[in-house]
Amino acid sequence: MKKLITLIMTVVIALSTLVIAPACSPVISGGDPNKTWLYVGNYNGGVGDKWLKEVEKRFEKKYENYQLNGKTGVDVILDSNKETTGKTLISSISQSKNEVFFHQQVLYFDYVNQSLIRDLSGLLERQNADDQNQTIKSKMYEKDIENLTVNGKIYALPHYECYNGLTYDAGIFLKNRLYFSNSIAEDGTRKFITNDNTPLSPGPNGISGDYDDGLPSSFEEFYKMIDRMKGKSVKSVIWTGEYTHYTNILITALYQSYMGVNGINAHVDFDSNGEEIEIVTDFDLITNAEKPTPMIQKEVITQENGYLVKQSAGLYYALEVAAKIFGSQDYYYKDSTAGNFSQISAMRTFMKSGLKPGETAAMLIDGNYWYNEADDYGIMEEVKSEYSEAYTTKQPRFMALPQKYSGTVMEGEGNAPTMIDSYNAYCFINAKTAENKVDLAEKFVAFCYTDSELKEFTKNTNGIIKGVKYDYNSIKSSLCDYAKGVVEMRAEAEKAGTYMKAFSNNTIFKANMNAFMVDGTSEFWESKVGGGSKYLYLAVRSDNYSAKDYFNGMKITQSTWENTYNK
Amino acid sequence: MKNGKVKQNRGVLAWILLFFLLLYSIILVGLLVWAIFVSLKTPTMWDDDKVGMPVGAPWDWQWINYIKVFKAFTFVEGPLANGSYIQASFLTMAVNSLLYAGGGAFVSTFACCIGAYLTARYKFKFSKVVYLFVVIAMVVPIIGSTPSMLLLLDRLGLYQTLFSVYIMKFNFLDMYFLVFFAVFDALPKDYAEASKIDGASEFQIMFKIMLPLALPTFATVMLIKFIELWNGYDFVLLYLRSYPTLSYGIYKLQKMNSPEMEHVTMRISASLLVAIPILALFIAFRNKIMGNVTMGGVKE
Amino acid sequence: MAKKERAFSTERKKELIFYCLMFALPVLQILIFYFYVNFRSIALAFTEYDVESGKYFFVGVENFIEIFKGVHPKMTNFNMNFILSNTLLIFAMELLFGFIPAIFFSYYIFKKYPLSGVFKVILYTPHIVSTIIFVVIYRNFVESALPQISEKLFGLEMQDVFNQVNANSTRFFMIFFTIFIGFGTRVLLYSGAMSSISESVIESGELEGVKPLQELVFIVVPLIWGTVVTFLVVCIVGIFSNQMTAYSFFGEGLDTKYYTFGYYLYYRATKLDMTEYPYLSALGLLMTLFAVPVTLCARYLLNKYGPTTD
Repeated sequence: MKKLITLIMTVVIALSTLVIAPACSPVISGGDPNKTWLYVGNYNGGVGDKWLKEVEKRFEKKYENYQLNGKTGVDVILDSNKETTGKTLISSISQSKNEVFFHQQVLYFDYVNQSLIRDLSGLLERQNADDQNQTIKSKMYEKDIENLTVNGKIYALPHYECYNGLTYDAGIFLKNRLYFSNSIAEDGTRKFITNDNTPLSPGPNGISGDYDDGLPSSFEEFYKMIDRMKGKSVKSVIWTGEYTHYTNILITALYQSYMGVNGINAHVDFDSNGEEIEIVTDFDLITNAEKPTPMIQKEVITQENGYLVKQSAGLYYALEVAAKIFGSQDYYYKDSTAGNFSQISAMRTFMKSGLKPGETAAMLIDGNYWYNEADDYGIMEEVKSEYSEAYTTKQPRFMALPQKYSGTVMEGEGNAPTMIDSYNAYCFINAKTAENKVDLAEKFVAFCYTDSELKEFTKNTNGIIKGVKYDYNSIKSSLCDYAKGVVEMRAEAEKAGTYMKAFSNNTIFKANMNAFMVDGTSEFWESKVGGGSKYLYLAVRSDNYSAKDYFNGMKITQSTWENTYNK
Repeated sequence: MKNGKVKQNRGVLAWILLFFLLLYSIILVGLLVWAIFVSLKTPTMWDDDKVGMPVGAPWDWQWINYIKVFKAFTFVEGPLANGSYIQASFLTMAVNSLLYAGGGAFVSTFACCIGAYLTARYKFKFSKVVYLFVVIAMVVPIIGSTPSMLLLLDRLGLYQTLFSVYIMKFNFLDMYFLVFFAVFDALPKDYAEASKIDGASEFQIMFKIMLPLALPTFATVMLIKFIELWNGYDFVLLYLRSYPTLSYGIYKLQKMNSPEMEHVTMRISASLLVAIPILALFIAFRNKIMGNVTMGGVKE
Repeated sequence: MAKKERAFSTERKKELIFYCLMFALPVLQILIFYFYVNFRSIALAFTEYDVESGKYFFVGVENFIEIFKGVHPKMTNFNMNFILSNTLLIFAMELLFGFIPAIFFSYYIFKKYPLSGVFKVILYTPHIVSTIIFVVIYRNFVESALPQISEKLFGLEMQDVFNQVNANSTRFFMIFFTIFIGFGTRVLLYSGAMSSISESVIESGELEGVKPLQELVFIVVPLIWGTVVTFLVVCIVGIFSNQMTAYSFFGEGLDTKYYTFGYYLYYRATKLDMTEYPYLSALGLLMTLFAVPVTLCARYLLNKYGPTTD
């Protein structure tokens, strides 16, 4: 026993001497002491930091003769991690060394109100000789300028855009004849394709020969498609069971698609600009007891009746689709409900679906950033080396979702896809940046927003678009097929005006962002059923609640609206 | 108790208990064996079969998973109280575990030992108060004082420092105070008296004569506390995220999204790897740890 | 005589000085980290945090009133109904399936029935291996392997058993785990206490033809009643700190309907949100006010009306 004591004591005393030195190495290590350091913080999920590492090299090269405090050159020091998002950074930014930030889920108005970030107005108006004398402001969308302006000043720049949705595997769709053909049956519905060469339907946008051909153009067709999948023992969807909010991503995507830009604008602005929005007032349970039909009335949304955004038909239809999918294992990959089924596992399984024996999943629930993430994690390479030849049939594509409930879209009758970004990703400068470093920080931001860097960003992130105006179409040829599809959709949406950020500077929205943000984690999805949950998925599976029950539980009463939100 | 005498009188109860204990053992051992199998699988093997042995001969199994854990089991912790982030690797977590569990166990055992010695040896009125207070503090539950503790540490500028943990653990309001008290109370006073006559100071009597007599108890208590601290992650999560330990790392691992460590196979490999040192310690000292623990004392 | 008295008093003085010096630090520690912290906690319970000034200001018993209403608007996800029912459920389950079986297992080990040495080690193993490690193994087993086993062996499809979807099965697996890993110390201490029972008492019982169950209930349990009472008291004290290992299983992602007091207090404290501290302190104070008399009463009643060896 004495030996044991001696041993323990020796170890403890020896190790205690180490206490004076930090036990873990800090993430931000030092740089070249002869150069000026610029600290840059980056959220390392989704778009990752490969792009930023490339920017770092080019920026350091460009400013190799930059002079400050007797030092020559710049050393950009990256602090790239997934631990902090814009939501959590707010509590630590004042202690952070980082001077420039690229983060998502940024509570912009809170940052501004608490004076945590610098006013960028001057920088935005400055002409950049390295960028054909353009100003950054000239690249910003009008709506963003309007939304981000606080007391005449702008404190952040849109960073990247991501879209919630579904990714489908074109290979599995073709093999299992899941595409809709261009022929119409006697009952007016579309038939499915019967062979590889059957001409495809024009898809939701009504234009043949592009990215969405053969895809369901209405919610009815979507139902038909998932039932066909069920008939062929193909699981409709797969998602990570580790994060329950991924189930809300499906609902968000369907909701946004149905509502369109006007509907979502009405949601975040509580003002439909005189346009009438479909509101569900009640349900007809007599015609079909199993499938209640919503009774719809059209209403103009204003500040006074803003609570109606939680009664919209689009919301109900989205919940209805999701309830059907989550309600039966016939529609989803078995591991999706397991808490140990990580996001990466979901991506890997999706990529191997159809290639390996076992359950096949046709669609992945995730934001469009997943492809870049999977690529960064080496999943594409892994699957490619495992299934060398068969891998060529693997064709993941971002899905254009239906925008109407019933019928089908005929050639020339459709709409451009609704592309709504709700990730609130911004670039900003820390308010506590030393005055003599502000110039360098601004130079870095300006550099990141030059045309050439914006294009490089999209190239290095597998087609993720930066939230400003630039010619991303010109680099389409250098992108993978998945990214090309996203870029095509985004370009079409921009042209048609069906693109937006789900954000607003409306007073009610600003004061209640968490309650009305249109993303998977938002409390917008909260329903009173089952003791209160913000996941339809849980309510459907645990207590057999229907979409109708859940929808009714989501409602906000007029008095709550007046007393809590529109005070 | 003589075995021969009880054999004929086992009855149904013994069989029922044997059944439940066997069931318990099968579940526990089964879980551990299953975990070992999982830790030796590739992700594909896991996807194909979540129950059975890894495919192939044992020498073809993924023993490399354990090596990978050493390299890949890292994560970024933060933001810490000072707004910074740290990179925790397997090695740094192991060192932190030793610092936290070793140091914490030592100061905690030492505080109990000192408190008990003073209370048992010196019959001042205050000693009675202390003894009574320890008993009361153990019986009377105080709930929900964590926020107040956090505020105090923050105010003292000690939050998330190893020093603060040592101070917090330097506390004798503990069951082991009573254990040490029993030990010191039972020690003959003659040693101390004789030393005093020989001119030894109180300090010398305590550290050179009395405490060495309680050293075996000290070692056993410290070992038990070391294991407790090594295993716990909740205290580290609240007070010491700046020194992430291995147990805390395992907690974090459940939500870790690094491509190398996110898979079940790797998570379980890491868990088993972390369990090994403590299991080795348990096997080596199992009799000390569990042989003689009673409510009244820890016998050496 | 006076010289002797003087020598004695010098001796006492020296002892007193040494005593004071050695006790100074431990007592200071207790004054700050026990007394100050707990009194500060009581004071916090009557305050509210003002974000603007960064100070706590007195609000009387407002926090307590809000807590009694059951759903506190400023306490995130606080739902008294769920919290109370889960807390009582885990207490009852532990008492029935953890506390009582532990006495039987200890008896088995005490009687040195077959494999008792092995069982002692096995029962203690979960206490040695970190709970979080068992959590990782157990959770993955239940979520992934158990459904496969059940399907292969019994043709039973098991879905959503431990992902919070099915409340009953999620609770079952959490409670089962909590009880399963909790035998170690209890069995060790009970069997330790049993081993100090005089052999002659047991032997005389055996000679009188006492059956094992009778021996356990009428001889062994009364003789170790002190230890049993202590554990019962620990169990009662644990009502408010027991989490069902929920934080280890689900971290912050636990659905409100599985909350216990222990989970809630721990989880919200980890958020380090100064605005919530007063509510947590108020909740803690309420529970302390409830637990103290209950604990003392239970101890008194158990000792007074517990079994005797008569």
